[in-house]
Amino acid sequence: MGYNVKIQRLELNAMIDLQGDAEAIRNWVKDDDLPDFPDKPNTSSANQKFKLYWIGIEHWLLRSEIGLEDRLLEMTNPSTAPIEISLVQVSDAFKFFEVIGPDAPEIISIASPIDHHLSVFPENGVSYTNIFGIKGLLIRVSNGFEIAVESSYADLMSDFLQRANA
Amino acid sequence: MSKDLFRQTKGGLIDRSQTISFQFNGTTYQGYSGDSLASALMANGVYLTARSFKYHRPRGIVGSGYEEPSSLVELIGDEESGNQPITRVQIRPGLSARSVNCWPSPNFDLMAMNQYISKLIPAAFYYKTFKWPNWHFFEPSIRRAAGLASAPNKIHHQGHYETRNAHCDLLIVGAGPAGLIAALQAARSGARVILADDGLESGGSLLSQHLKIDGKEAIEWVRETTASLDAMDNVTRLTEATVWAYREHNLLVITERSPATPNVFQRSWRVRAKHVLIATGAIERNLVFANNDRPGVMMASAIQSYVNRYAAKPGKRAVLFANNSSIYAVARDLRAAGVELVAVIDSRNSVNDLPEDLQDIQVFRNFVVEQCHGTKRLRAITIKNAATGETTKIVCDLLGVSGGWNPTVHLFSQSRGKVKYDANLATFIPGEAVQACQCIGSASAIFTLQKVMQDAVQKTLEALNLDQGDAILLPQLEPEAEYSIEALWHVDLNESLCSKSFIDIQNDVTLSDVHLAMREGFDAVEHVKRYTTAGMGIDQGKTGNLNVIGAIALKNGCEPDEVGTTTFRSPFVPIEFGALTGIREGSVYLPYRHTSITQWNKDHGAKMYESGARWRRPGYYQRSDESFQTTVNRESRLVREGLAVYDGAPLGKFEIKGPDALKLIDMLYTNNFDNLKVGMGRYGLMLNEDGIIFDDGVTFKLADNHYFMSTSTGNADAVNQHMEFFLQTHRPDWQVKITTITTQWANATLCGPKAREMMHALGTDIDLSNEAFPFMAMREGKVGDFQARVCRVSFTGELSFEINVRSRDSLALWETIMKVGKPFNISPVGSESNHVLRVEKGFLSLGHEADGTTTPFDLGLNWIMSKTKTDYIGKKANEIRLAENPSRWQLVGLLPDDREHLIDESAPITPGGRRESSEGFVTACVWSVVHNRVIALALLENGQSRMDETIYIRRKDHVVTAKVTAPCFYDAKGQLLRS
Repeated sequence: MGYNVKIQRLELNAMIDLQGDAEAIRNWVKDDDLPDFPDKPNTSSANQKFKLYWIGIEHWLLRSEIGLEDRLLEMTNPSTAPIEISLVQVSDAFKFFEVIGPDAPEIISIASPIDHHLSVFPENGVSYTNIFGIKGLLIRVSNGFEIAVESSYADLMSDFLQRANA
Repeated sequence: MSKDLFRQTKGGLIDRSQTISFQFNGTTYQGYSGDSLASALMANGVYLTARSFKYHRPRGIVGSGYEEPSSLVELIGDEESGNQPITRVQIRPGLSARSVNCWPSPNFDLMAMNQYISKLIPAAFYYKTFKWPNWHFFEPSIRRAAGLASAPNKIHHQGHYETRNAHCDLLIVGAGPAGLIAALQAARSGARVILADDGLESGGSLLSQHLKIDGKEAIEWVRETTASLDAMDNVTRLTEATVWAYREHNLLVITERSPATPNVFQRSWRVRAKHVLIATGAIERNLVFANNDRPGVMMASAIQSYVNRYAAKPGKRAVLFANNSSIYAVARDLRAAGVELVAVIDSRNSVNDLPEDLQDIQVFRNFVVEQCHGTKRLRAITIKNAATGETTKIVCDLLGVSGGWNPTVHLFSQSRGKVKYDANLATFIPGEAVQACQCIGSASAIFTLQKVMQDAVQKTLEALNLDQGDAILLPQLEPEAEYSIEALWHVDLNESLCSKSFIDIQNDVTLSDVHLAMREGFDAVEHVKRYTTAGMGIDQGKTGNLNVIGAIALKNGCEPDEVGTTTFRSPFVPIEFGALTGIREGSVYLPYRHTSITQWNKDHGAKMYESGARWRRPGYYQRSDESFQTTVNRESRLVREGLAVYDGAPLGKFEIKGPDALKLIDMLYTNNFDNLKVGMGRYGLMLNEDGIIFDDGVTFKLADNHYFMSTSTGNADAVNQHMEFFLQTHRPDWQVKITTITTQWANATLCGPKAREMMHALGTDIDLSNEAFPFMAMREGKVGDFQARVCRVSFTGELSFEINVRSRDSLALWETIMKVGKPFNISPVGSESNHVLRVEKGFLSLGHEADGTTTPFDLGLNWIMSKTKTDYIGKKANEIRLAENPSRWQLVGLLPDDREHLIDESAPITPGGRRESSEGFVTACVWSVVHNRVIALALLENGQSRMDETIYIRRKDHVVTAKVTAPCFYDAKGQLLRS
């Protein structure tokens, strides 16, 4: 291993894609468990159960452990949401990887052109970026990063990450 | 020869406590830690290190760094690589290297006979000869004779290449005095700094000169400064790291030759810098006179480097020849090293800047070196009084030459910055910058240390928008003489059979070659370069290019700025291909995508390959006793006669929702969607603005203004971009949200006459009757244990149920289908049989019939072109096209008279099968299991009006005739898929 990191593929996460006006979404998801919307683009907010990523204009991802998926669906009720907002279950569309350890930034530098310096990509940073040439979501976590890619790319991503740390 | 004669007993930056053995041309030598291969060989008295590229003349070491034009070596063993400048190879235990351009050795080289036929092989001789019978007949021999080392055909080294990205406030290129002080200034201001240097250690020219900084040896200051920088988190200091490309938006590429990370052999950095300081120093020019390539003739600055940095003695009796003042520091250092300095030949007449402490050396002012004597080693020189023509012969074995200094403007020029000629300095210097960069120090034509440091600090403050009050304290420096020069582009031509004046040593280009090019009309500098090859090759004319420009200027009677420069291309130094690709090799050379059942497919013998958008899909499931064709036939029959299943997961899928979702769908597709009922789907064609078919797919209505769209596999990303582009640029007022759900949903598609029975066998709460669940409907419910969206669509022309489930359930569903389907003899089928089945049906395929040139009308899809919609993308273009009533290639079916043999896709159709412009081509050809014969689809000029006509398909050695038919060979009314 070239770098001091631990890389692993994570279990499935529960995910809802939220699009629309934040106020309209908040009005629909009237639940105290919904985290506050992040105050800056490309950052996240979180509570004990859920994480909310601001990933684009009127676009968020709501994430929880897979065990809370039913709770997430109950809370957001995508199938009956008003026409102005779009709530779509996308749990299966993503695969997550964890890159943890002192050299995690080294691996991310190999993987992505994003500037992940703390002054630019803060503690709660989350952003779509190019990861080994593929669109992927980069999330800063304690002592490292998480990478989420469209699930069809999971094997390729795993291959790349192993090679980066060979 | 005793090696002690060539090594000083003390001094230098080598570690005499660490002796290292290495091999060169099969002989074992010893050097010290810190030695380059060049310095170690020099210290062993090895002076003949190479043969020249074309004439195979004896060559020695000329430079001391990346500018080395003469001696290239091939590394053998673990680090096998070719054409490395001998000066850039660090010795290490086990190093083995050999000379290039010679056989069997530099001392005895059979190809040296080229010297005696040199009159027959002037510049560009190969453009004029070897025309008959064919250049390629001679090419291999000429390439072999040229003799540079070939690329290694396998990787021997441990570890892998790596590429990475980095960002910084300031990238400083070069860690000489300017780079170091700039880095210190920037780092102390808190900026994120990257400092990269080509050398083994930071210091640049300070490593090769005896200078005092703050009253101490310069190397002490270098080490203190680098230690300070290394202690700061905001500084990344790279050594043996060459910045070799400067691209747009301040993107620069660095390759690190020996990164400290375990298992990483070489590493390339793509650095995006807010500002760049180019502190690349200056490169000394050669001087052009007869036999200026003899081993023993070296750049004066290289001599200084060898005696000071490596404590080597390049010769015993030295002469220095220059047109500028920098030579006197070399003279001083040579004497200090114990080398006998016989004379200094100073071509300048009007300047006398001989330092006080060197008044006792013999200086021949207004003299030039006319020629060198000796063959494999310099024995003597003849000097000539430029005024009187009087000549004198001086015995010597070392000649240091300095034609002046060229700021290393390569990166600046790559950044699209302009260079301008400075007549006082006789060189091109950086002019106006285009990107956020500045040259500092010698790279900006400042040649005294005090001014270099002042310049570096000042420009760093400017780059980072800092106040003068933020400036760091400059170190104390000793006074230095100002640099002065008088241009000397070449000594008068004095060439004979074995006496040549080289202007580009690496490519064996002589002054007379340049003159020959100009006589033949190639007198522009770019033409001279191409005619002679001057400035090409590995060193890219670092020591010779300006002399070429000067020689052209002299010949044309103009100034060098009127001649201009050639292009400064990347890479600045040779870069290994591996350092460009990094880890992107082997299994990740091309991206790939898998479905949840990819591994199942592999485990069950599927032949997997890409089928668009990087998806690896099963092509076919070959059994041990089957050929490719029998496999495809079996799978196709299974669909037509029984039951099969295929993995349809890769189809593009989108959920589209919002008050204006219907408007978007209606704008994207050519047909009407406004009367589509909830739970039903409709096939649609998507066109581009030119009215050409872009994609097709089925869109289901989930609720009012809420749709589930499927697209082709290969175009899913493009369709997404197409939709977003339209919404963001044309109708930003429309409220529509698009969510990509391609991999949220996987699907297993049951197809064949027994598909409904199979659905029942799986168990479902969906009413499967044709009345309750008709063709093009979508129903949600349970299939087996799985919550599913089941769609009745068909790509094969048979009854089909597309069972969409969450991807996590896909493998379990698939295995259930295999188990439950056993009584039905179910089997998976791949994309090959799907292709056969769709050709039988005449369904279009993107990339085949929809090849980027065809409209819906060309494919006979007039029925899908709404006449009532006021607008959709591509409508106007097709109306214009139809109004012109052009002759178009149209989709037809073909029944080849040869019923047995398949015809290659894209085979041309020509009138009468003659060699004329084609009137169409075969888009697909398959063995039809329904008709038990070959059938084909084709695009044929005005094909829809040529039914039953015989057309001619040209093959390589014969013509195939075929009858034109309608492009549907099976169930033309679509009764089966609606059954």
